[in-house]
Amino acid sequence: MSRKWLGLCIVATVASSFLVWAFPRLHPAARLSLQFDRQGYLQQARNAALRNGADVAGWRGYAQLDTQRKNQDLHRLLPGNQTAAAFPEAQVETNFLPLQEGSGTKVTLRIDGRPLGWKLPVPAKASSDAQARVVAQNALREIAGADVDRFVPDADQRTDSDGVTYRWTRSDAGAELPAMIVEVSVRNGRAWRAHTDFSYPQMPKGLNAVPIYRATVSTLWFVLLLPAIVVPVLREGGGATARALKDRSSVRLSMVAAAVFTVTALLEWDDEMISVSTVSGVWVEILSVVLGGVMIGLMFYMMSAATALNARVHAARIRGFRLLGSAAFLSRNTAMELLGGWLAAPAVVATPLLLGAITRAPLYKGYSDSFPLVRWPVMDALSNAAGQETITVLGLLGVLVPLANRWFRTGWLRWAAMGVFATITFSMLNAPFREPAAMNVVSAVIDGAIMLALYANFGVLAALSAHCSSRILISGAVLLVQPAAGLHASGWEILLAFGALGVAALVVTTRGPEAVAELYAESSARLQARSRREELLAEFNVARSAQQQMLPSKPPVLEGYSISASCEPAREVGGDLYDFLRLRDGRWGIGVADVSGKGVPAALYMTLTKGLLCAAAQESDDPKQILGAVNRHLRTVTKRKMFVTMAMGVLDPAERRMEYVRAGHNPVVWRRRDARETRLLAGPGIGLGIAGPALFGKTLTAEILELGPGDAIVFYSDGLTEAMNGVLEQFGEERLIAAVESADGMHAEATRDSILREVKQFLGGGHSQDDLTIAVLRVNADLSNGR
Amino acid sequence: MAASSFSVQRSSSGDITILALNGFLDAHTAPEFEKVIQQEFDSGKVKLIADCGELTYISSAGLGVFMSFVEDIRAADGDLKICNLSPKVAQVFEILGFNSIFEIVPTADDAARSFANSATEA
Repeated sequence: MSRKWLGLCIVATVASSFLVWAFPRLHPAARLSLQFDRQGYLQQARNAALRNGADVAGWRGYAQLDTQRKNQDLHRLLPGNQTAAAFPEAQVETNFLPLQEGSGTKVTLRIDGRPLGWKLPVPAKASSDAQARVVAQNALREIAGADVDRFVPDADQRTDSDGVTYRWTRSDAGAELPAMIVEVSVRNGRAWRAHTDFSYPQMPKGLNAVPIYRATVSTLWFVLLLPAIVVPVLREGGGATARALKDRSSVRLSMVAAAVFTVTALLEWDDEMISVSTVSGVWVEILSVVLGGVMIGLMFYMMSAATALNARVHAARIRGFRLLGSAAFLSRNTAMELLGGWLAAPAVVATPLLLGAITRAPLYKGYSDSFPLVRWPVMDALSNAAGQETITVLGLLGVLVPLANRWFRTGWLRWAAMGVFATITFSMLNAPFREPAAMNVVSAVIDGAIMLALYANFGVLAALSAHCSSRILISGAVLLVQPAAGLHASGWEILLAFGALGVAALVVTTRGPEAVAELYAESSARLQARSRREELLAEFNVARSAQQQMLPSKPPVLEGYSISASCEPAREVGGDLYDFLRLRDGRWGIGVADVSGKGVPAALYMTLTKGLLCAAAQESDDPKQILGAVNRHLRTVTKRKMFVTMAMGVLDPAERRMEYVRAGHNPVVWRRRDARETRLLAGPGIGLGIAGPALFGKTLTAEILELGPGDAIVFYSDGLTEAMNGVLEQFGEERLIAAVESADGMHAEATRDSILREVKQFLGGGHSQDDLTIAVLRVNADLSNGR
Repeated sequence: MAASSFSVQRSSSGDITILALNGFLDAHTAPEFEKVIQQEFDSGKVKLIADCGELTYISSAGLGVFMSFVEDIRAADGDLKICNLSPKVAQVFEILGFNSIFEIVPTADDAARSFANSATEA
């Protein structure tokens, strides 16, 4: 066993032992001392109703425990005051509905079963109200018990549609002290309504600090949640966000959460129904169950998707959680985290008790729940554990903690930020102390530290497990410390369920299958994708240099001329081409070609074109024939899916004559220095691979150019003239012509550089969208030197 | 290309289908155009007029679409005529030598008339 597990087991053992001693002594739920179980309280309420003339035997009944925090405070603040002592720490509300139509009945009880008040159906006229005062006094006796003599009747009684209403006030109340008032209405000879009113003295200052403190931390939490969701969306980008939203694991888990919520609501259907049917009706209840399930599902989904979006920041930490939503949910990998969290649960429950024991600060945790009186305590404990609070914990670890990772580079700063986030979260979830409020912060710091330790050593799932397990443990313990036999038994049931969960996690951790397939699929797919991408990038680099090598490494050196050419692909590989071809008759062919389309397909056809061109140039000296051959072959190969445009000039260096053909390519620029004239040579000609040999040959026309000293011929691809700047203007032929004219007197390389410089300047830092190819032939100004 | 919006609107008069092209016809939008022509061809409509009045840009990939269908269409006794070219697009067609391959006319009516004439000739 590793040190991690050993440590956890020790913590679990120590915390459990402490809980066995401390829970019945220190936990406020032990002071509730519920003497009846669910059925017992319902029976007490039926008896009280019957005594006052309403028989509700056989009616559907519902009981709910409501704790009274103010009364608890009063007991603590006025320890010797007998009126304060009579204020109940908790009360049981019961509702009864007849099986058929009819209005319901409501009885409120003290913990010991004595009624505090009721509202029964108005009885049919049975007897006169002559005995009304006696009936009312009997009701008071029922409510006040042995203290009945302390109650002083008001001088007047009220008579209205409610009947005759009598009112008593406890005589030992002073102006500064709490008062207790009992009101009984009698009609048709029955005390059909009774009510105990409590009036509180001025509460000591500072007692309201806790609600303000909780409101503050809740606000803080939600304020933090916003950047925690927005930042990863911005950092990871739309694609990753879409993937996270489509994440199957999140969808499955949130559907399970929604289902658990709905099923438990349906199990308690009768209770829920009775509690609302007097007010809003069946459809409202059905709607609220369905909407509640949908809301829980949506909230869980949102947090879960946000967790998945942060995968890059903490992949290993969320693996178990995501596996829980996969086919491998019952694997060693998930069980290990669940077990780790389960072992930590006693420590989570023990934290406030230990703090309370040390500082003697009064606790009220666990005082406000109605769970002890539900029909299915185990189910209720499980569903409470998987409820909204769990989503909040998921929010902390899956969403807020990664934000700390993104914000801070330094290790200790990160952990400090995580600690702050965790403290805010648990301050919001648990405020076990009435005062001082600072004690709640201490408790939240410890809770947060436990959760972050689980997160760091196991993962998100372990922390969620610790939270859920602690809720189950506390539900069981609260019931176990009640004297009522039924509740005590329910406590054991819940603790048994808690134990079973731990054993199941242990068994799967040691004997269960490894989630190999899922983990492999996840990691290898990602690794593969990564290495495949890198592989492809590397291959593209090879392709790029191969393509560049396919272009002439340097232009031919011809006496009386300078030649310069270059090709810059817009992407890794391009579809542009230039070439210098030595023909058999001693002339030189200069060609620039552009393959339609971009990227890899264009690059492949560029290679093909280069090969065809070389082959054709060995067969013929006639540019029309050369291009005709290339056209024929391309047309066969490309099946008319693409085409190539090409401009070609065949130079007779000695004669200073060029034979020029243009197959659908951008017209070349002929700068005639002496004539101070610039021409675009746009003779007819169809792109290669488009038309059949007859039409192609018929259209293609050769032009003979008699070159003069200082003349320039500029071949280019449309990437140059169509280079587009930020305001969607194209470089265009006019700017090209101007650039060529301004390069008068320069040799070919300087001319080329000057034109490219103009283009770059025009683009203004932007990048050309297309391949940029240019080839320049310059006739020397005087035959002695190329200047 | 910054803007890559492209649409084709189909309308027909008699057995002639007019495809009104709108926007940028480039490598991204060419498949859309290709699909439309293919659908027309598959449903036996082979007298097609491409109205390029609203076509602002055409790249080599877009030109490829015109090219790849014309022979099949002609083999099926139909034609793909082009009309309403903006000067800029017309220049691209011209540079590439498309005017030797396609019948390029000023308006859709001219194209329709041309279809009618060739029908009477046949």
